[in-house]
Amino acid sequence: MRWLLLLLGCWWLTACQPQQPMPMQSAPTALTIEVAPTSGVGVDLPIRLYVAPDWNGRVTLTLQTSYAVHVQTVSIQQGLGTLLLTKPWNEQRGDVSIVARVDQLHASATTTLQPSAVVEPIRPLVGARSIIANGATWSMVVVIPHDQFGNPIADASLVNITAQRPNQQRTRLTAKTAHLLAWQRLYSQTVAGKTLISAQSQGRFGPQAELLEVAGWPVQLSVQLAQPLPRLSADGYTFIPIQTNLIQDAFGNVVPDGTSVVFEVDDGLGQKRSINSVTIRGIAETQILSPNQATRFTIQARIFRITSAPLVLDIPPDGATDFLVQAVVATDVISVTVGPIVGSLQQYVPDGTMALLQVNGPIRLEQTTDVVAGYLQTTIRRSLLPSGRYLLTCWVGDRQSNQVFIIP
Amino acid sequence: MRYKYMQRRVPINPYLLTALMLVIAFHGILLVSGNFKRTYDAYVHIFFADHYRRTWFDHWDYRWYTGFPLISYPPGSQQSIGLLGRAIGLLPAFVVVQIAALLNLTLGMYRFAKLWVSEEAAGYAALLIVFSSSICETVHVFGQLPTTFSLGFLLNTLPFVKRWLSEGDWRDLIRAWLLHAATTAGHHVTTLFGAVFFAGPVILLALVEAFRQPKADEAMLHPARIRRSNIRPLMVRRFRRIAPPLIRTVIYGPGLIAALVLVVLPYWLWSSSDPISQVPIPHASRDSFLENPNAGIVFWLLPYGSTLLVLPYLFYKGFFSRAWPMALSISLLFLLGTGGTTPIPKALLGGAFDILTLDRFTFWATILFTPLLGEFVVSMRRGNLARYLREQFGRTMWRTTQGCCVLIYVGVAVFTANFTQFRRFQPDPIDPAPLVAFLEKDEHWRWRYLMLGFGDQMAWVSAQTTATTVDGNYHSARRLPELTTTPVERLEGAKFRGIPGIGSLQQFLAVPDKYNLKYVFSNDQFYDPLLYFSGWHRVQRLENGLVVWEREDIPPLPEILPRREIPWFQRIMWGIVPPSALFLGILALTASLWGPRVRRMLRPFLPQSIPIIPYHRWWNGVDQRLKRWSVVPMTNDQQRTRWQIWRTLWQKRPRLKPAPPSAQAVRNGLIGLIILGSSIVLWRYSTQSQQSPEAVVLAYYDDLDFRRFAAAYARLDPQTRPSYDQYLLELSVQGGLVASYGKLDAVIVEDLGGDATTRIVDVETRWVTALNEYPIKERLILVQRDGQWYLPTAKVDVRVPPDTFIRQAAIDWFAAGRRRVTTTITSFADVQDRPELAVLSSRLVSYQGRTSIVGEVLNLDVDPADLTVTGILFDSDDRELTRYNAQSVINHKLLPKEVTPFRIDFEGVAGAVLSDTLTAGEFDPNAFSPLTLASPIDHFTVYAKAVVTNRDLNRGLAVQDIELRVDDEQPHIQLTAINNGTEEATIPHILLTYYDAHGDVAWVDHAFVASSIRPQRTTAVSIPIIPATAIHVIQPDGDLVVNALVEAAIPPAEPGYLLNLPATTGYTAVRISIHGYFAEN
Repeated sequence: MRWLLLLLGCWWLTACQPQQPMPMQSAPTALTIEVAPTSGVGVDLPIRLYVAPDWNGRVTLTLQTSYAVHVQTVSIQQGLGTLLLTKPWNEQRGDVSIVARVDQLHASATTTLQPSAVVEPIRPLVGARSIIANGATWSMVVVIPHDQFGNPIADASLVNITAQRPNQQRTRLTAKTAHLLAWQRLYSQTVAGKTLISAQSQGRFGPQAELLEVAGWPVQLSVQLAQPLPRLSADGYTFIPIQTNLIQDAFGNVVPDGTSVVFEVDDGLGQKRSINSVTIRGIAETQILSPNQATRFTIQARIFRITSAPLVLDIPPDGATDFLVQAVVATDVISVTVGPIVGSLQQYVPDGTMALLQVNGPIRLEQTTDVVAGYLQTTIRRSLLPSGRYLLTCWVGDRQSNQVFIIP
Repeated sequence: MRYKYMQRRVPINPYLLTALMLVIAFHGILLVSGNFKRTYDAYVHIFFADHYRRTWFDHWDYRWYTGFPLISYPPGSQQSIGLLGRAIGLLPAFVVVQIAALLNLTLGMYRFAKLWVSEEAAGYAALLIVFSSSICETVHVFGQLPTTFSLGFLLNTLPFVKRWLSEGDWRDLIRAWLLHAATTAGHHVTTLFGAVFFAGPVILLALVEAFRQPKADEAMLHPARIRRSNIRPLMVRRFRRIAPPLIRTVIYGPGLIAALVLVVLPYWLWSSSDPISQVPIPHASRDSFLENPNAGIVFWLLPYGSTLLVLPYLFYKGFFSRAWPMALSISLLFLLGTGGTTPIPKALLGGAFDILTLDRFTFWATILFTPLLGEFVVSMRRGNLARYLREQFGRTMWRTTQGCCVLIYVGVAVFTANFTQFRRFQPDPIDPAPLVAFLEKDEHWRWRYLMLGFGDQMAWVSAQTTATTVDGNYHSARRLPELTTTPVERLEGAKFRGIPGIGSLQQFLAVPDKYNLKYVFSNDQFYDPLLYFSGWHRVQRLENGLVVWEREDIPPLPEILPRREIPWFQRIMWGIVPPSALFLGILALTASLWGPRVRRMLRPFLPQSIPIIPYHRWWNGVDQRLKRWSVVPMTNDQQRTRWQIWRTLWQKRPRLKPAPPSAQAVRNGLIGLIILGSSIVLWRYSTQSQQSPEAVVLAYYDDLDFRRFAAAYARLDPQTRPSYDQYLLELSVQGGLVASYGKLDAVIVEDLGGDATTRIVDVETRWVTALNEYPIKERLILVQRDGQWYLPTAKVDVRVPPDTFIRQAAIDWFAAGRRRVTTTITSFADVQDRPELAVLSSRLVSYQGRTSIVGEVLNLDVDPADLTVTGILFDSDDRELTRYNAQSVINHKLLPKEVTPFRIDFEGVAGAVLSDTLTAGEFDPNAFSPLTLASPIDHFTVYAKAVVTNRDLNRGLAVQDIELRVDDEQPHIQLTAINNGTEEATIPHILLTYYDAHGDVAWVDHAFVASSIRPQRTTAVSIPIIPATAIHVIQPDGDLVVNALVEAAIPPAEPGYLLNLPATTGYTAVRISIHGYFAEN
C-alpha cells in the first residue's frame, strides 16, 4: 500500500512539473486560403491554408454551408495546412463560405458545391387534387428533381411532364427547374374522370400522380315522377316517388355520386316541404308523403342555387264516404265512437289516420285521436264538462261529421 | 442526563392481539377481494403511486390536466405503494399498505385510549376500531388511504406526547416529533387538525393532571376559603405544578410545527406560490342533512353508525371523567360534522366552510369516541349498566342487550364495508387493456384523450398509459381555467354538475384543437348527442364496450410539453424527506423492540450523559423560589372541598332498588309491545303516504327513471292498460334524445282537483340531456279503483307504415388512402385531399348579450367534408381577442354541393363569472359564460377547413307541412319531421337560416327533436322565431379564410328560399335544413 502511494505521489509530482518552453517563433503575417471555386456534392474538397512566414500552429476554420455552420481547427506545419471537406459537410449544394482565423489575421474564400446527377424517384406533386372539367380551371404540377443527397438539381434542368386525360388523350408539358423546382399549370379538359400524371428528368422516372377532373355545376335540372303511373290519392298515407333527370354539367359530365339535391314541395295548402336526397349515377330520388286532402303539389329540385323547373301534380281526393259520430253520456265518462271511417275502396282508412275531435258548448275542448281499425274510440271525463248542450264535431282529412249530446 | 434503562415485560393485551388479527381477517379479506376498486379515491392514490414508481424524483406528471405537480399532495402513502409496487404490482401494494395502515391504526387506538380510559377499555377500543363503521366507510367506501395511514401514526404519537409532558423524558419528545413527521408525510391535514383536536386535549390532560397533582415537597394545607392572604401562594402553588408541562409544551410546539412544515416543505412552497384559486367544488358534507338525506346517510349516519344509540352515555362518560378535554374536542367535532344542517359550522369556520370537506370532522369525532365506547363495553359487561340491566330487567334482557349491541355494531360495520355493493357509486369495472392498446396503436398517444362515464376508474386507466388527458381526478391540481373556474371535479362525470359541468365539457369538445384533444372514450351514452353535434364521430367500439369518438383535423401534441419547474433541492427533498420521515417514524415507534439491544451494543461508544439543554440548574433555582412563594399560612388548613359540584349531586341521586322478577317480566313485555307498536305505526304511515295521487305520479316516473317497469306498469289503470308485454313493447320503441339520453331531473305535480274517483293533475317532467333541458308537460286524469289511484295509459303510436319492405339505393364511401403496412411515415399519396369550401356570407351579431358569428358554408368539392369553422375576433390593432368554433349550430358533415348555416357562439371560460357558478348547481340551458375581452372588437375572420369524411352522411330526414303560425303574438314555425330513410333517426336536428332583404344570413337558429323518428314515420315540431329586432349587427361582413381555389365556381344564380316570412318578423325568408344522429350507424 505504501509503495502504491509513493508511486502515485511520484507520478503526480512529475505531472505537475512545468512544461518545456516552446521554441520562440515569429508571429504570422499573412493568411491565405486556396480552394477550388466549384466542386460537386459528395466529392472530398481540399482546402489549403498558407500562413507566412513558415508558421507552425493551429488555425480556426469556419465553414458556413447551406446546411449549417461548421468550425474546425487546422494544424499548420511549416506555413501549410490542408483540410479535406468531407461528408457530411459536402453533401448540401450551394455556396460554402470559408473563414480562417489566427491571432489577428483572417482570410475568407467561397466555393460552390454543385448538385450531382438527378436520381429517382421523380415524384410529381399535384394540387388542387380535383378540378372542374370545364377547360378553364387548372391544377399545378410541381416536381422537385433531386440528386442522391436530396439536393434539388441545377436550375434550368429539363423536366418532362406527361398527363393522360380521362378521354385517353395525352398532354405533354416541359418545365425547367428554377428556384429548386419545376412547375407547370395543367388545365382541365371537358371530360370528367381521372387524369394520370408522370414526370421524368434526365432519363429518370417516378410514380404517377392523380388529378380528378370532375363535373361542374349542373345545367337543365328537372323533376319527374319516378314511376310512369303512380297512384295519386289524398290519403295521407302513401308515398309518391319522385326523381330528377340525369344531372349533367354543361359538357355532359354526370355529377358525382353523393351530390346533395334538395326537393322542395309547395303542397298548395300553404305548407312547404324540404326533402334531402343525393345523386346516384346522376339521378336523385325521393318519395313524398301524400296529403290527407285533395290539393296540387308543386315540386322543384335544387342543387345549391341551381333550381329545376317545377313539376305540378294534382292529388285527387281518396273518394271516401261520410262517417257516423256517436256520443254516449255515462256516469263518469262520455264514450265517443266514430266510424266506420272508410276510403275510396270502402276499406278502413289506415291505422293512425289522425282525427280531430272538437267539443263546443258551455266550454270548448279539442283533442286529436288516432283511427284504429276504421273506428275512432275515446272517452271524455264528465268531470271536465259542466252541464249543458254540446256539439261534438269530428274531422278526418277534409271530411267532418257532427253529433249533439247533453250533460244533465 | 444519564441513560437509564429498565426493560419491562408488559403482557400484551389479549383484546389488542385479537383486534390485530381481526384487522387482517375482516379488512384484509375485503381488500384482497377487491372491494377497494369500487371506492372513490383508491385509484387516485394508485395513480400517484404509479408516478413515483415510474419517476421517483420527478415532481411533474403530464398525464392529467395537461400536466400537474405531484408536490400538491403529501406523498408518504403513495410512495410506499410505489416502492412496494415495483416488487409486487400496484394493486397488491395498495392492499398491503392499507392493511399495514389499519394495523398501525389499531395499535395506535389502543395506546391512545389508555391515556383516557382503563387498560381493559383500551383493549375494547382496539377491538371496536376494527369494526368501526367510520373506518369501514373510510377504507371500503371512500378509499382514503392517507387518512388511515397518517391517523395511525398520529394516535401512536400522542402517548409519547403525554409522557413527555408529564415525565419530561427527551426520548419521548424525539419519538413524538419523528412520529409527527411520519404523520405529515402521510397526510399533512391530519397533523394540522390533529394538533388541535387530538394533541390539544392530551396537552390539556397533562396540564390538568399536573394542576391537580400536589408536588412531593408541597405543603398539604388546603384553605377552605380564598382570601387576600392566601390567594397569591395558592396561585403560585398551582403554577409551580403546571410550570414543567407548560415549559415542555413550549418546547414540543415548535418541533410539531417543524415536522408539519419541513417534511412537505415543497408542498407549502407550492401552495404559497401557486395558491388554489378555484371555485369550490360542492361537497354533500356541507349540505343540510335534513334537506339532503342521502348526504346525511353517507356523511353522518354511516360514520357514527350504531354509536348514535349510545351517544348520551358517551357524552356522559366523557364529561364526567378525566376524559373531559377529549369530550370537549368531540363536541366541537360533532358540531362541525353536521355540515349545513345547523348554521354553527359555517359560523365557526367562516370562509373555510366552502373549502373543507366536513365529513372529516365526523370521522375524527368517531375516532375520539372509540375509547369511550370501550368504557361502554366495560360498563355493559361488569359495570353500572350491566348491574342496572340485571337488576331492573333480569339477566336474560341483559344478555340479549349485549348480544344485540354486538350484532348491531358488527352488522353496521359489515353493511358499511359493503355499502358500495348495495349502492353503486361507480360504473361496472372497465378493462383498461383495449383502451391502452388503442392509445398505443398508430401513435394515438400523440393526441390527448378524454374519458367519459368512467367514474374513479379513470385514474386506474390513466395509470396504465403515458398518454395525456385534459381531465384528471385530483381537482386541487387543476390549472386550466375551463376547469378551475367551475365546480366540476372531473369532466368525466360532467353530467353530475349541471350547467357548469356540461358547460365546461362543451368547451373542450367545441374547441378540441386548443388542447390537441382528439379521442374520447365514452362509457356513458348520455354524452353521445353532445359529442355528435359538436362534430365528433364514432370510430369503433372496443372489446370492453367503450365507444371511441374522434374529432378530425386536430394537430398532434408538440414534442416538448410545458412544465412548471421547481428548484432541484425541492425535488430531492420530495423524494427523500417524506420516506425518511416514515422510516424514522417506524423506527421511533418500534424503538422499544430494538432500542435496548442497540443501546447495549453501542454502550462502550456512547458518552455517559448527553447535555441536550442544560436547564436543570436554572429550573431548580426558579422552582425553589416558587416553592417559597407558595407557602400558605398555617391557619388556613381545612378539609378539602370538592369543586365539581355536579359530580357530588350526581352521586347523591337516589339509587333504584332491584326489581322483582314479576316487574322485570312486565317491563320486558312492555318494551316488546312498544317496539312492535312503533313498527306497525311506521309501516302504516309509509304506505299511506305513498298512496296519494301526487305520490302515485311521482312513484310512476321514479319507476320509469330507474327502469322498474313492472312497478310502473302496476300504477296504470287496470281497466285500460295493455298487457304487460304490450306495455314493454310500446316502451321499447320510444327513443330519442329524451327517452334514450335524458336523465330525469325533476317531476312537478300540480293537483287541479277532481271528485272522489277522478283527479286531474298537471305533470311537468324535466329531463336533462347533454344538449339541453326538456320540460315535458302533460295533463293526466287519475282514477281511483279499490282505494288506489291509477294513472291513465299513455297514448301510443298506432300508425302503420305504408310499405312493408323498403328498397333504397344509397351511396357509401371508404377512405383508405393507399396505406401500406409500414412503420415509416405516411406518404403524400396516402393523405386525403382537403375539400374545397366557400363561406357564402358571415356576420358578427349579438343576441341577448351573446356575441356570435352567423353565416353559411358551401362544400364546393366532390367529396364529403368534415367541417371545422372557427371565428376569430380582432381589435383595431389586429390583435386576436379570442377564437371559438361552431359547435352544435352547424352540420359538421357536408355532402358535395351541400350548404350548412353556422353560428359560432363566443363564450368566456365556462363558469368564469364566480357569481354565476356559485349558484349554478342546477342545469340551466340558457346559461352561458359571457365573453370578457381586453379591448373592443374591430373586425373578425371566419376560418373554415375540412377533411374528407365518409361518416355520418345519412340524409334520410326531411321536413314537411312547414308553415308559419302566430300564437299569443309569438310567431313560430310549425313543421313535421319525417324519416324517409331506412334507419331510425335517433336525434333529428333542424337548422333554420334566416335571411335579410339583401339575401345575407341575419340569424341562425336550431332545434333538437326530442323523440326519435322511425323510418316512414313523422313527428311534429314547433320552433319559435327570434325577431330580427333582437339581433344586433356588430359587423356586417368579415374576412374569410377557406381552402378554395376557384371562387368563381359558385353559380351566380339567385338564392332560393324555402319559406318567405312576413315583414313583422324582420326577416325576408327562412331556409330549413335537417340532419340527424343515427345511433345504429
